[in-house]
Amino acid sequence: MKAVGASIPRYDGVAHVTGASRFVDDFRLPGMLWAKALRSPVASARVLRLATARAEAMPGVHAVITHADVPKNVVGHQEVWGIAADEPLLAEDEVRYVGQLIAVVAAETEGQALAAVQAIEVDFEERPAFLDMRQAWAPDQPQVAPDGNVYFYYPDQPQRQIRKGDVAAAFARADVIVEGTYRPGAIEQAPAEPASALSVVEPDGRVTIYSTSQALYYSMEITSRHLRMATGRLKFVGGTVGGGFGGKLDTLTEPVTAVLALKSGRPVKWRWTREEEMLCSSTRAAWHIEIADALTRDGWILGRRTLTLHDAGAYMRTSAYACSKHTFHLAGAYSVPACAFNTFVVKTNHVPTAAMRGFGVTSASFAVETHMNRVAEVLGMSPWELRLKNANRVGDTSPSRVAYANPSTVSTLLAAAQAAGVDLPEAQRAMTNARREGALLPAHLVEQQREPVAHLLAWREGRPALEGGH
Amino acid sequence: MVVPSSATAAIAAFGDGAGITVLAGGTVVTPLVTHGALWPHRVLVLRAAGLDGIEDGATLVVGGAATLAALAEVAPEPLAGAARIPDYEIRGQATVGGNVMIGGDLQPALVALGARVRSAGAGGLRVDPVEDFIAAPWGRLVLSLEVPRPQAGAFLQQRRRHSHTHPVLSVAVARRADGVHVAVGGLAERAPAVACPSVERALAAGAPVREAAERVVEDVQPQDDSLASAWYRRRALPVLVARALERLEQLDAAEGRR
Amino acid sequence: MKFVVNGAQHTTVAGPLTTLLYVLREELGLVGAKAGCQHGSCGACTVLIDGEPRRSCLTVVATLEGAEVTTVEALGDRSHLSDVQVAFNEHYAAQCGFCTPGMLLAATALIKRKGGPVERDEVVEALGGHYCRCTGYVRILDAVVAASRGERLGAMAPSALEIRGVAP
Repeated sequence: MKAVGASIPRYDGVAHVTGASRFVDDFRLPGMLWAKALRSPVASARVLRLATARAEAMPGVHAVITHADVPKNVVGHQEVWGIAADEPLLAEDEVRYVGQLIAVVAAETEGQALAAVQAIEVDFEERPAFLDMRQAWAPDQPQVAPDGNVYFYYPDQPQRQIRKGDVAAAFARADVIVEGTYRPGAIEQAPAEPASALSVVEPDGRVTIYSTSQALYYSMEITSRHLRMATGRLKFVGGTVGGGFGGKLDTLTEPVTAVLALKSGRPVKWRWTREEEMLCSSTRAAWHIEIADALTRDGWILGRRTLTLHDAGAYMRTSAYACSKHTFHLAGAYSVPACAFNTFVVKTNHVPTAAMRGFGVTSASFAVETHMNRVAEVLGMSPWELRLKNANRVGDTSPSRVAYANPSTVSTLLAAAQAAGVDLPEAQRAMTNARREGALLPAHLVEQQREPVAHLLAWREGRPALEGGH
Repeated sequence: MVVPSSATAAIAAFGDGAGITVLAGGTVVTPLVTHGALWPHRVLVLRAAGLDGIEDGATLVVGGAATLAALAEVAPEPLAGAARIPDYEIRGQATVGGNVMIGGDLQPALVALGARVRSAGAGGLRVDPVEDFIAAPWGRLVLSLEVPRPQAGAFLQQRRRHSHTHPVLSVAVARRADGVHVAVGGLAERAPAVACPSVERALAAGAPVREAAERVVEDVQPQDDSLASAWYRRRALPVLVARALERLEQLDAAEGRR
Repeated sequence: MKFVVNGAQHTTVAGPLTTLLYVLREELGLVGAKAGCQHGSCGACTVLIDGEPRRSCLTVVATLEGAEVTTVEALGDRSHLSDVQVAFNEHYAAQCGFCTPGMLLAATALIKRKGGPVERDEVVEALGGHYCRCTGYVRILDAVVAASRGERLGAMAPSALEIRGVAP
């Protein structure tokens, strides 16, 4: 254990401070071409005509690709998890968001590629765009996808849902019901290094791809689907990433440069501009979250109902997964014995949304913690007391009925109060994470502690669930 | 490309400005060229044209190709404050002329100071009040700015520090021989700065600062843009104007005026 | 157009509106300056021109006749790191490393300008145009202040070097 407590030099520290670290854009290969893309200028349109002949004849141009050049154009970012493929690498007969890729040129210089992009002929028939996810069930709205604007997790179920306890009873016996709506907006991850890739077809036919991906094997899998090429024929080079923050999970530059390299027979590099990175790469999603809490006058949460809408943008990418995570976390760090949570993935004509630092969860935390403050205000009680009272203790169960073996909400709250210089009453300072008893174990929480639980840790370790937990 | 070595040669090369792209500091033009938004036919490079001189005096004369960094060193407030945007490197490269042309941060300060712009273009040399010039700057080559020194001045801006976007709001105030002058910028992206005569009249009539500042909404038409809503700008502007005027009062008090 | 890059004379074949960033990266293979935004807004392409930090993405060849350009490659190499480089390494001031070359050059110029210790707010002002999305600003400030004072923490923990099998 020599490393614990020691200042460990970063393995890449000296390379970084000498400017010697090699990011994707820093590789130069003989004969390398530069890529530039034609992107949709509109949020929704039919593509009536796409002609590349003029661009192909431009000086320095070696290849122009459209959807017809991609071996398998429509792929999903989470097909391995059963989310159906829905996103074309290059647009076919329609575009669904501003910045969607339509065609990409590889030329000897970036300037030549840019000029050729401007020579591509494309005719659109613009359609009304669907931009406000709150209108998902309103009549006569533009349809983003052929199967509708709301994603179906199962054939008969559009929502990711959680049900726990008797929610109707909780609301029936509540002294007070507090409702709130929370709308965290979309955020661009804005890494300092824009998305880039460099693809090279090796003499043996394998393809080497220098990638800025944060998830090399994930990107390799998606690329292999687009190329219809076994992963064994792909060699991904990565690991030096100029910031990602979730934004470099999406896989677009890798398959596009690979298709261009295969078509042109030359190495092809594509470096997104800052504008492309800001406007065309996925963002963190915008969310619409409604919470209603059933409460006793003295600040116990008896039950919670939620309705969440998630703006997936034009294609699914990782939205279904984000909404699952979101739904699991809608009780926050608090014990809510009766839950009815409903989360919907809504497709819109915005840029597709995807990962960013705990995506799905930050929106839930923002809504829940803001709501806790609102509840405290309505009840006229200290927000600290409200939180400490309802904070998860050993034996409490999550919305998905996992019993907490080692929760840390109380200790975290007390540490936060101390750090913030908040002077809490002695009775609150004396609280711990330990199992509820006495005044901290009201009748409505006794029930949930008796529910049979499938405790993940216990399952893994092959021992019964929490001692006394059932 | 033309790289004239004198102002006269630059003026001749500029002609009536048709079909010519002026490159001074390059902070505006270069990204447009790099990203394919501008494909210039003829480029006039000002680096050697001798348009970067600064003559100090009762009236400050600043060459159009002088950098913001050079201006900040000699200019009085509110102009010095306006020149201190947005970061060290850009100030060392961006020029006074380019800033005035694109609706930059100098505009409200120049309006408050009653500056004049010497420019070349169709119809020959011209000297215009800055307000007239910035209303229709295209087709002109900024040769110099003539900035009368005020008794005192202050510049306040609401923006994210060191950011390169246009500001949410800018306020410039200057005490000149004929009274206090107020101008506002940042009412929308690249919107020209405007003078605030209602505020100025209220001050001249002896209204208290806060009351006079409220009048600013009569002088401006803020717009919605990506940085702020018109509603927000109308709410925030009187506060910013009042603060700038209070700063001026403090300066007056410190220097024993009034 | 002729100018000096890291002490060596260079005659560029690029057009007059080509950026210095392009010349450095594509003609000279000096890839330390990064194309972060190519709008002058991120600072990752910063180099020294006649000793002053400038955005190489905003500087075109037409304005460079006779200039002296210094890039991160000339600051120091693995075996001879400059004070600023040592401080950035010791203070863990480089996270993803993409903004680091620009930060190093702006910091080097600041310390040279001041000719002595610099205060934190001076660093904030001088490096304000440099974007670190990893938000490692506190460590960057620590590093620049330390470098300006000639402070060195000394070698990294030797045990760690053994574990990693690397020498800084």
